[in-house]
Amino acid sequence: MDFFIDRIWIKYYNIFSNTKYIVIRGVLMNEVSKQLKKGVIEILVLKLLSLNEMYGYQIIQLLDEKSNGTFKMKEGTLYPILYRLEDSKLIESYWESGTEKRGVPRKYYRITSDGISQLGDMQREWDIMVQSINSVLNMEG
Amino acid sequence: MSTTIKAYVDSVLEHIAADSKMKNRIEKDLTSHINEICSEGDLVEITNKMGSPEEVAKEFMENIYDSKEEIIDRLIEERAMNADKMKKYFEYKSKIMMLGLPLIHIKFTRGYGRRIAVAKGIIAIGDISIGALSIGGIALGGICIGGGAFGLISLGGLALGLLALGGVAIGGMALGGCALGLGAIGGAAFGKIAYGGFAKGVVAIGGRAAGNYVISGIDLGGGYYSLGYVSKQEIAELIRAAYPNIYEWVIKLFTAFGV
Repeated sequence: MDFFIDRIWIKYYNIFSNTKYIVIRGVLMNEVSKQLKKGVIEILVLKLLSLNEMYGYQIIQLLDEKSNGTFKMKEGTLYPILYRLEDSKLIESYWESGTEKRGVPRKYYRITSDGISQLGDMQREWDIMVQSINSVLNMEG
Repeated sequence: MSTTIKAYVDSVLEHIAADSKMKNRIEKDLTSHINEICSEGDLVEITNKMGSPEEVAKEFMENIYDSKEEIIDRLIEERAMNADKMKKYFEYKSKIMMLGLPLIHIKFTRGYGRRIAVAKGIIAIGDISIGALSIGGIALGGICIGGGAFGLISLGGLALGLLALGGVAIGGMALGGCALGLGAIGGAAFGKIAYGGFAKGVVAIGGRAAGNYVISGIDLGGGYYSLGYVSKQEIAELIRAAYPNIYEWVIKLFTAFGV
């Protein structure tokens, strides 16, 4: 992974699905922030699913709770991420029919073996990135 | 599923520019999602919290696509599809030509109040169709099938042709509710040789028949008539008496209705 903030280019790999270059400058910051958010949520969703099989609403609730309200995800954010992960075969889904108590069917997502391995890679890369950012931010003049 | 949830989800989907597979996915997940939350609260409150359908759709759009370029590409694609839907006609012309005509030509008007589409081809299908095999509201040509069919062999509500079959059939040989022809078979049949509930012709065979050579039914009273038992031989002899040189296949056609 290359991470040269002083050269205003960031190149990052799997965390954000595809290799991308993003210019960190005024007007493009919003786009960067969105992409970062997407990438981070992908890791978090994979992490949650590595702990248990979950349905969409459950993921939203748990993420909100565990991040102390930092990641309040909307449906329009979560489901496209789940679709991307599913299309990449990192997770898979199945429908569980409704019970007497709960009339409606529920769609559960679970992590695949590829997903577990990908999560490991992502976590390692995340650690490196955080360390790199901190080492730059903590520089003293 | 609650109709309110369906209406909300449908409205979200209407505002999303995505392919049908993606929309189908979103529809199922969003419906299940809202149903799930509904077990914890009031639907109106929930949908208010989620945002307007436009807002939810926007959130999906922002996350379905990786970049603005992808969204723009999709919007252009949808615009092209809508433009196609707005076209006045649906038209298909095969590239293969025969006798200066396309082998297949299909043309229909879209919507109301537009000029009627005319399809011309060896096989023609359209509002008005003209072809060797012609299928349409009004069909003209060789073998014609349509509301109004006019050709050598015609099948339709109103059929005119050498062989005509239809509600009203007029032709060399006519079969229909009301049949007029040299040979006519129908509820009411009028022709040189007529066979039907009511038959009028030179040769007339029917419940009520009028003509020069007649086999008529029995008056059952109250306006009801029955042809009763008529043998094939009787019908054949009657036709031959009127037309001694008639083709055998014509006799076979009419005797098919005898016992």
